Amino acid sequence: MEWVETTGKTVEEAKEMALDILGVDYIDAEFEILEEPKSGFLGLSKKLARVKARVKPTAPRAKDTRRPRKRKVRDESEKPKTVAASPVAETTVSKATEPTTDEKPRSNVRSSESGGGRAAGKTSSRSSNRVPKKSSVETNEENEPEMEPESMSLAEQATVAQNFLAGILNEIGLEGTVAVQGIEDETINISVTGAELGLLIGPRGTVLSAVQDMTRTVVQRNSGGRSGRIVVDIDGYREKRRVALEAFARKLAEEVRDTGVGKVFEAMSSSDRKIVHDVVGTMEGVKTRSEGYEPRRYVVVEPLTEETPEQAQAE
Amino acid sequence: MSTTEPLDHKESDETEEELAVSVLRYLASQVVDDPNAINIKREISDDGKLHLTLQVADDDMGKVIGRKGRVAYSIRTIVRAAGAREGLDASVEIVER
Repeated sequence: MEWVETTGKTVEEAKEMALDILGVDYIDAEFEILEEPKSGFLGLSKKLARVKARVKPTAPRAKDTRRPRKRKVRDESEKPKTVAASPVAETTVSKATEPTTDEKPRSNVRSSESGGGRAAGKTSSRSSNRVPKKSSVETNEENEPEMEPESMSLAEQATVAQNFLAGILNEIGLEGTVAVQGIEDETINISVTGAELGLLIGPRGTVLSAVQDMTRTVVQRNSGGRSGRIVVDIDGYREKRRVALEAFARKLAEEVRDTGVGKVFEAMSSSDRKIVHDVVGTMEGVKTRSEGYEPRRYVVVEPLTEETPEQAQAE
Repeated sequence: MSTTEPLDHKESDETEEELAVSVLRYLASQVVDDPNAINIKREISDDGKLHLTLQVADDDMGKVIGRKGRVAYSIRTIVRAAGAREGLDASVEIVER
């Protein structure tokens, strides 16, 4: 994981700056304070706060120490990512199923896993996941850690998230499909598709954000605190939003460049701000920065003039 | 001693409950340690708004509120959306026992 370094008048400001670069939420980031801000005599000279930040890694290394002597048994079963990414699991919620049990929403949910991604080459060690007792010595390594909640695999976390989301659909009485799209870079991508899901997206994606936050909370609770990043999308909203936001940012930045007058975006999440920074960053003659504090932090686009006094000094 | 207290139902129970209520119960049950201690009171004000009051076990208060109130905010947002599906303006208050 790459670290980024930022500065700010306060530690908080430096942290928010870092979130813009990383494009993740506060809780998905890990910070290290390099320097506290200091104000000199009468506040005449100032030293900025410096922090280091990165996207929080999900698998803490320390866990490996638990079974040191079995280490050499491991072979290809060592790569959890390939296991996780291949099968696309789908959970379908259908209202047509019998409403007999009301306090157990999961009973209405059919969970099926299509082992499609398994076709090529590799032998499937995943199929034995569900029956730990019967599993052979080779797959032992893979199954054992799953008993401990804090080392829940990303694939299992994805299942928890999937069940939780299916439960929401079920409770609200919406029909839809909850699918794990894939697990990459310690990020679990889950999509919800179906009819009438606009309600779960909400104005400017506010409900979607709440659903995603809640999903992460539930997964963290089940996994003993650690979890991968979880991105929930409903009916492709995030992708549509990204495309629209990129186009809008480009248009606004062109205006700034042509008129020489800076413009301000409305407050956005860190992931949205990153989209703006990234797209404007590829353009000539403009620059971006963020101002304000979460959740009202926003991006400012400014014309980039070569001969500003500050820059001349900086040279 | 800490049991789920039934809501004021008219006669038939399952169908009476608003979506907002069942969604709130579901969300709360997913984050607390003691789901049996969840208690939801509902009240409809004169202007037709649905006011829900959520109580959980003392030890679970922090879980339904979350860091910087984030979980509480998410719960409220989702419950409001569920209410809207039935044309209801639903709000959630989380109170201590």
